Amino acid sequence: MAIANVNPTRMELTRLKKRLVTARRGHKLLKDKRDELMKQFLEVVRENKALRESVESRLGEVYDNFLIASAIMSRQVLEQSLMFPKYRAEVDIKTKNIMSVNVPVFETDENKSDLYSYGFYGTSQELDTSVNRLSGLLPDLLRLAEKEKSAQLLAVEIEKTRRRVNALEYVMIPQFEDKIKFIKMKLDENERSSTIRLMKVKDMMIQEARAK
Amino acid sequence: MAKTKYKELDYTYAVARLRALENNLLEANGLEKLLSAASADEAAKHLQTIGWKGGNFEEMLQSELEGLFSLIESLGGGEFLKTQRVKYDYHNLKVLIKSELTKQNGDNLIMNLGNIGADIIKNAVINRDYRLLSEDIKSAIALAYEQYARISDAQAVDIIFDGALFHEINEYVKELPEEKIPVLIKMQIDIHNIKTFIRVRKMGKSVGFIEKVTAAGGNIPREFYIENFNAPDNQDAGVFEHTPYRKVFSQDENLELSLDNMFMEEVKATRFGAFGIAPLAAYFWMKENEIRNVRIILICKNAGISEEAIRSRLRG
Repeated sequence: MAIANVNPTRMELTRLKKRLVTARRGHKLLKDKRDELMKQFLEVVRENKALRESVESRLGEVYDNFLIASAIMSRQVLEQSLMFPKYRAEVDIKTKNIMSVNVPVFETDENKSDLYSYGFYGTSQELDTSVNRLSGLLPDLLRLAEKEKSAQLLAVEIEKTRRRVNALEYVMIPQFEDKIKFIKMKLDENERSSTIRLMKVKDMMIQEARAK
Repeated sequence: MAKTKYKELDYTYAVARLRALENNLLEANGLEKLLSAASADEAAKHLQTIGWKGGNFEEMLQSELEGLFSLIESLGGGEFLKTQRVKYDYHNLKVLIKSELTKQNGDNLIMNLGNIGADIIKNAVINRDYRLLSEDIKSAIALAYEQYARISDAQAVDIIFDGALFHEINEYVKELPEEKIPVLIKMQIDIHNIKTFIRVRKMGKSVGFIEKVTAAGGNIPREFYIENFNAPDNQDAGVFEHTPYRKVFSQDENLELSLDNMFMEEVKATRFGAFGIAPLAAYFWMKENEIRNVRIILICKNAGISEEAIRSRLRG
């Protein structure tokens, strides 16, 4: 047990009291951080959910168009049409600090002037539509990736903070309190035994004086 | 070049044979059977029972297409087939040149149905030895490389090849010994141009672009598309009011589908000739359309699309 290793001295008591004050302050700060992280996390998750639903439904439409295009055109012609894309997008990854968590921010630089990398013979309008819709979806796909990664990183940080708060609340602070109590009791006991000893010595001296 | 000597009666056997084979074509009832199959696999099994060969969907469709070319060739439709094989030559060229420019291996996309053997085209592109290729292809390749070196645009490469493809088709059409097939091919060119006109306008391109991508040789001159390019978006019906294609713009269904259907109606009207090469061409396009419809059914069924939605996409 931790108490067994405590040195019951006044110096140790002062040191432990200081640590208890620090632990309590740390606990409060971490609790506040956890609450704020939770708030930010819920906000990100809400945005992520809305974005995911919108992206999934739009992706479904793209796949439908693409499926129709692949049904109308032969596999070889379809693959040939798409084998040399000319649409280019550069993605710049920056970071943003949310409660000391560095979450990614994707910034795109797209050349949207021309998407279509194929000629018109043998290709269909459905293919144009799916290519167009897919390219329109790219910024939202990147935003979704950004939100999902942020949510993951915030979740990890919340978990870490929660453990720290719990460790302080249920382990460290009670231990400090127990140790302080133990030292106080020990010191009081020492004081009492000294008083008793002095009283005993006094009695013995009185008895000795009376005998003389 | 002088036209080959052509006698309509030379095709009596071929027409009779195709008349018999026409009964095996999957028309509305046959397609309905496929549509009502429980799954794409069931539909494929049904196709196998009526003589389609091949393990998976792609193999079945490819095998039917190859069989169709062999059949028409064996029945003396070689001159006509040249006009239909050209697209595979240019497809192979596009595959090979794009593979080279992107350093990919596109061998699995090569189709051995062209006028020129796939190996010959491959060898020509890889070794820059164009002796066995047509003049149109030679100049298109040179222009494509030059254009790519200047603007690195894959679409520009495709457009050059598409232009050469139509030029070559028009040259072959001139050689055809009869009149019905050129009419249908002109119609195909018009349909390509109309589809392109609509697509290019939707893409928001300039009038200069439509000039590059429309093909010569149709009934509607290219100038028509250029002149009407800046007409308001909702005025397509008005633009084509005085052309034979006005009726497709008054229909609610998908424009590409309506145009394809209109072409198939013309083809079906041609099939009833008793002599000459035109019934061969009609059979070819009908079978090609059947293969396309089967592809639509199998792929859409495999993806779980409803019967009604598939039915609305079928051609002819």
